[in-house]
Amino acid sequence: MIRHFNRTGRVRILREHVDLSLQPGRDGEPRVFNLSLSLGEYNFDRDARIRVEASVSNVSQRWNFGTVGQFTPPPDHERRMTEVPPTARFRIFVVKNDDSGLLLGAADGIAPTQDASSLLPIQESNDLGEEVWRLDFSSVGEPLLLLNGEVDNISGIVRADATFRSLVMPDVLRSILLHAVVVERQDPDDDQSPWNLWFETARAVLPNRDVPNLSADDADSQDAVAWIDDVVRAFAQTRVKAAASYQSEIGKGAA
Amino acid sequence: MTAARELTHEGIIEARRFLATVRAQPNPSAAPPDALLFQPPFSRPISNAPDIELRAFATRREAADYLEQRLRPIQHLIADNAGFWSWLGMFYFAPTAPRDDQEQPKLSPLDETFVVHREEQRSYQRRYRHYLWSAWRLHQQHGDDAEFLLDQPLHAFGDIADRVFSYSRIFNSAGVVSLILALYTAGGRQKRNFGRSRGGLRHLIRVLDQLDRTYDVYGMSVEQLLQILPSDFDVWRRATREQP
Repeated sequence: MIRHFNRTGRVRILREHVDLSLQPGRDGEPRVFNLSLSLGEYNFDRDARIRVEASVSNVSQRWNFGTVGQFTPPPDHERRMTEVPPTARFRIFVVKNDDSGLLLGAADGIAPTQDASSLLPIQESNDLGEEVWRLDFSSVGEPLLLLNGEVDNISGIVRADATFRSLVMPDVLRSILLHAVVVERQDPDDDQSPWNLWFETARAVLPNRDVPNLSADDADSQDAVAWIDDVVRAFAQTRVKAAASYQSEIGKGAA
Repeated sequence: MTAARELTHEGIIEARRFLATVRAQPNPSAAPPDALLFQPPFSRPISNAPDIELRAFATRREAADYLEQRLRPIQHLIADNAGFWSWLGMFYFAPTAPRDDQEQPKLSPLDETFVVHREEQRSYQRRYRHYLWSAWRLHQQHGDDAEFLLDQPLHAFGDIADRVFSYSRIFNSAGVVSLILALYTAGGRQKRNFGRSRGGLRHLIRVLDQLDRTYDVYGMSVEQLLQILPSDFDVWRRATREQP
């Protein structure tokens, strides 16, 4: 059922009709978002314009996505989030195609769906010696997965090889959360924190538990470490299906 | 003439150190060290570097006109390059730094007026406060529609400039910038009492936020916006229409 929620007749576009995700930028470039909409049941005019806005605090960025009848996402390089951080919330709105500027429908406060591996930019390096991978934390809130460029097709392996992912990704998440919570002691309730995206990922994986907030004076980080273990356990179980995936890959090799 | 470069991460840290020293010990002849501007690890060359000359800019327009002409061939490469604009901020430090009556530099507490760090979210979000980058962007984005702001000195940040340069949603909206300038400026000056009074700038910002729930406010033209403003703004709107 379509719900009108103000006297102008503007309708609420439901979250389930919005498919919004982020992909990491290449070589440290800003992230790119992907959007698709299912507006069939809303009966918007086909020539109504679709606009998208991402904002947080005092920064925002806008894009035009064509019309309801002709959905036209801008090319990848134009969908880069150059003005706003990855923690920005999205607003998708449908605008009447006349001079009124009137909104016909909107979806507000949409957070992109994302999984930990898609959050993590990767970069090949020739300085890793015999290490296959290493996390780089030199840019605050933007960990980078360095990969040994001496290994053939290492980037392809990381993106697609289930064995590698099942063995490595849970530990990558553990290292990142340890860094944010225990080393940097970031406040998870600070909506400006550069680590927000990772806190949100943890909340999505383990929704019923609060993210620990260690102050600089807290000597005991045991509870925080236990929480990280629980997040990683849930991540391995529900997102990566690590053990099952590893077992399956071993089975293929043996067959 | 000098070939433009870009500051590295180390260069931006060093530039911040320099700015902190100038704030602590203002000195009329303070200038960034040559090593910062021209030597690794603080700066590096850029491709197709334009030649620029050290000179003063009386207004944002003067800076924007000069930079537009010099940067046109590599515009697409430097538009979002914080390292480049940071280098430019340091190169032009002496002629662009705000000064008091004794010619002592009187710097803003925001380093971003001169240098912006791309990797730091908050720093990058404040890039609209960079004196040269914002002047150039303002002219690119709004052209002569923003003449009131363009004809101000680089470091003039009154209520209107502050609103426009601090909120990217406003900065990037041709209609809203034109609306603010149409309502509250005339003949190159701010109208009296435009700030806090009924129908004034602060009131307008609140009303635009409300209208945003019903209209595509930041995508509308100034003419469309004038049509939907409530009567609180009539006095300013009338004054607008009476302008020659």
